Amino acid sequence: MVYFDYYIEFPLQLGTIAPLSFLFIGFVFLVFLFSRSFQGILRPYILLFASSLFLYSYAQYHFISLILLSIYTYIMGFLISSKKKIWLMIAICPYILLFLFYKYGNQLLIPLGYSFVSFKAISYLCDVFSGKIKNEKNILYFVNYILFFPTVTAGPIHRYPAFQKVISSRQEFNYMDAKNGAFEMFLGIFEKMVFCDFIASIASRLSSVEVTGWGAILGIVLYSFRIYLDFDSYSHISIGCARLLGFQLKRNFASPYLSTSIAEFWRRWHISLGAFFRDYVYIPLGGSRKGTLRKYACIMVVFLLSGIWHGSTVNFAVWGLAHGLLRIIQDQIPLFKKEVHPVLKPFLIAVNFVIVTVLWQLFLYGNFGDVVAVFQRVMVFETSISSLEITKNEWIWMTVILLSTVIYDIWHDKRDALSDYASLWLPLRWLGYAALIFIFLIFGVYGGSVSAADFIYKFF
Amino acid sequence: MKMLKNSFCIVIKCLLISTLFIGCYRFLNKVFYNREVFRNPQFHSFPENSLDVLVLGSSHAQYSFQPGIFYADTGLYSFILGSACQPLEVSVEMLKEAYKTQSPKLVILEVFTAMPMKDMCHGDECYVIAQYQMSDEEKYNTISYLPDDKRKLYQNDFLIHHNDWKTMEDLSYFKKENMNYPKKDISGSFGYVLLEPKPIENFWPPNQKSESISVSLRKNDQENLNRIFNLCRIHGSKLLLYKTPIDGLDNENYAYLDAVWEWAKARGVSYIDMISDYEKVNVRMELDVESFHANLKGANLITQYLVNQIQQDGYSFTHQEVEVLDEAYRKNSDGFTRYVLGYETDASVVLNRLKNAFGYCFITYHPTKKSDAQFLEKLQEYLPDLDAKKPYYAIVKDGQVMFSDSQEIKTEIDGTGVILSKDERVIAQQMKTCEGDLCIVYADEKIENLVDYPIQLGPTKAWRLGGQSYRDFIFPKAN
Repeated sequence: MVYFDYYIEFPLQLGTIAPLSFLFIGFVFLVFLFSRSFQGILRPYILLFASSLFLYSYAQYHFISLILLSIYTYIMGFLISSKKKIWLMIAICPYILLFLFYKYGNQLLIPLGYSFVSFKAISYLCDVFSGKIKNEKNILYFVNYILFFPTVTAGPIHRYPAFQKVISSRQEFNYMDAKNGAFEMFLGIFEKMVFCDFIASIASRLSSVEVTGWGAILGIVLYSFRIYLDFDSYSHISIGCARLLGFQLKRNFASPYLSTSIAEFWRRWHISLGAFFRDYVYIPLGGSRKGTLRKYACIMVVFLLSGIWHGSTVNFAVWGLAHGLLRIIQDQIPLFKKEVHPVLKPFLIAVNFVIVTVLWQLFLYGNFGDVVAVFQRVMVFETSISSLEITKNEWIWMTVILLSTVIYDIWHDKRDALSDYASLWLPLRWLGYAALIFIFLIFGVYGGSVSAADFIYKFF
Repeated sequence: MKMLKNSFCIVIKCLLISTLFIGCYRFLNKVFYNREVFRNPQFHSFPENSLDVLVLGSSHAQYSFQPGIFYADTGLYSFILGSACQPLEVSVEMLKEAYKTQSPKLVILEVFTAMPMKDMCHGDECYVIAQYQMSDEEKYNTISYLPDDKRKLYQNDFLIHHNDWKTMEDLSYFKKENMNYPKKDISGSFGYVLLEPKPIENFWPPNQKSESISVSLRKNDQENLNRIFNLCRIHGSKLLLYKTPIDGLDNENYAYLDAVWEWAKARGVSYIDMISDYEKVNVRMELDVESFHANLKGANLITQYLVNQIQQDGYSFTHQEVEVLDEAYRKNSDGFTRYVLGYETDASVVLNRLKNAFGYCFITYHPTKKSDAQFLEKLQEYLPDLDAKKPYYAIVKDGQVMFSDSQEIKTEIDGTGVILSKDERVIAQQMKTCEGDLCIVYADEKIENLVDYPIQLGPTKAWRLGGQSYRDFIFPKAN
């Protein structure tokens, strides 16, 4: 993906270290090897070099601009620690202005990972200002935090204190942790290339204007799964990769489609983003401490900002506002204020899933008219299921994927699925690995027309 | 110690996972592969060093050179290693592939892809199609002309065919007999592609050049021609270039064709320019060549012309007879001849066989209102006892009518049963349905190798649109 029309030619030509490539796996392995072997002084340099190389592979001179932003934030950290609000505003303003410029001006110029870099920088600046943390004096640690390659392109948004604790100290190598991190990373790749991309291929066929009725409904549902699997898989890759390198990141998705309400959905979906908006927008604006009206206003602001962050068209703002409004409406309903009865739970989960799925359509289409057209197609039953050009085997595989996703989410909701798997009898575990490899090779979506870099959330 | 143990565990596990991955991949690569492209099992089933003539080139070669006819006229074994829009660099690899198992005495190269016109069909597919006919280094070299992402795919069939699971009907895909590459089989078309003639409405000759332009061969083309020339020289093969008659050439394309001929002259390589020699080849663009590709009638004429030229040039061949090849070529030739006769648009050719053919002709005639009166009049010159208004059944031998009847014929000739009637046509136990108003079955003296020729006698059928030839037949030119 070209971000710039022109660039300075560097002597080293590198293929993109896309998360779904062998190059990425080799790259991560080498970084793991070197950073684990050279604990202490060298480790931050190794990680910084790795992050720079990663960003360089995407767009040659782009990573320099991110380094400059990190240095700017580092310097502002010193000024903000004087507790003068003006410095905080000066520090944060460029990020917001640049964000608006890129989003609503020239989108082609937006540097890779800018959004998530901004979040991290803003969270750091706000934490320094509020006194939660002291400003970092070691520029190496700080720049590493901003540019940390497992999370720079699409999150999760991690906070500085936990990162600093790891990078600044000698870490004893935890074999189980590294093993589980590697497995989680591979699982993320599997989820993306086997589950997500297949669902995406079917969903895109069903989004054609000729598909109506049940086919259109199926397309809408599949898009919902697609966006979840896409983002979840990337999160697994990031978290697994970070874990391999010794950094513990929190889960970013906690079976969101098992939510019974919008509020719960946002506690389970893109958790790090939700936490960011809670801590740095909702609470500073007053949150629930200044009365109900203020609380609801804060909720609307948060969701509006979330919508705007996701995209520059009206659709996204509408999406955000719709979520905000539903959140507020559900807050009025006693049913959602207490523990949901087990008998009612499946019904509420289904309703919530339908609401969220309907609203995801605002993500898929560039303008509102197209979204309306989708739902018009749903009302018309002209196309039969058999004419959808989906083979019998594709139907079966699609069902397997959807069921597996649901079962895995239910399992992972109650327990740590990865730890459970790690504690299985060794031969069984290895049989599982072999099965995953087989499934990946046969059912994986790869080949000439597939790009290793096509994650949806990288576009945000 | 613990660190060492952990490191050891990591290395071992990485090796195990890699081995598992590679092992699975290699196994699946054998199971999932392109089952539609047969990697030329016919060529690879030729006994070693049995091939006499190798033809290389694009679809122009595949449609114009008929190995069965070539065999019938010369007794020589030939094969076409061609593919759609085959670039010269691919012809080089095809030649190298051929030399692995064969030593043809003559290599005939069709030169369409040395002309700028080839750009209209050139694309990645040229290399993709061709590489399936090759192996090892030659396959790799052909694939190397593809862009990076496609090259990786074709170096590993599995990357494309792992998706076959989507369309599998059942698990027979995995049966042992289906897992091997298709069995070698000597029978087939020898690389020839048959193009059936379409009904033609217009009549045009190929345009000749209006202005001579001098150009040099493109560097790439020159290099590849040199490579082919050198390979032939090293392996003791003669090289012959040719260009089939095609339509739509402009002066630039003529210029490049002339440059090819200049290259040939400078190296003492023979060439046949069928565009300039159009009239000598006796093809009719509107009937025998559909703009670029010769149909089966054109292939018949072009091959015969090539044979004449080769014989005139005095090529010598040490031909080794191989029984299984003789049988395969004979079968091919017979089948092709039948096809050609079935599409013959020159009525005189068809009817003259009544007078001139050795062997038997079995005739069935059913009158219709649409029957062409002039044609019937002419027909009666060959079959004097034919009454145009009544059904007619006849057996002609060596130009003479043996039996004829207006009801039916049921007889035996040298122990071979023949039934000709309104509802039945059985000759040598072969049931032949008559789809025309006039049906002629030609057979040899043993009443074998039957060739069926149905003729519609109405005014709208293709054979009647032979234009000049038909008119010549009905209204012969004064000498």
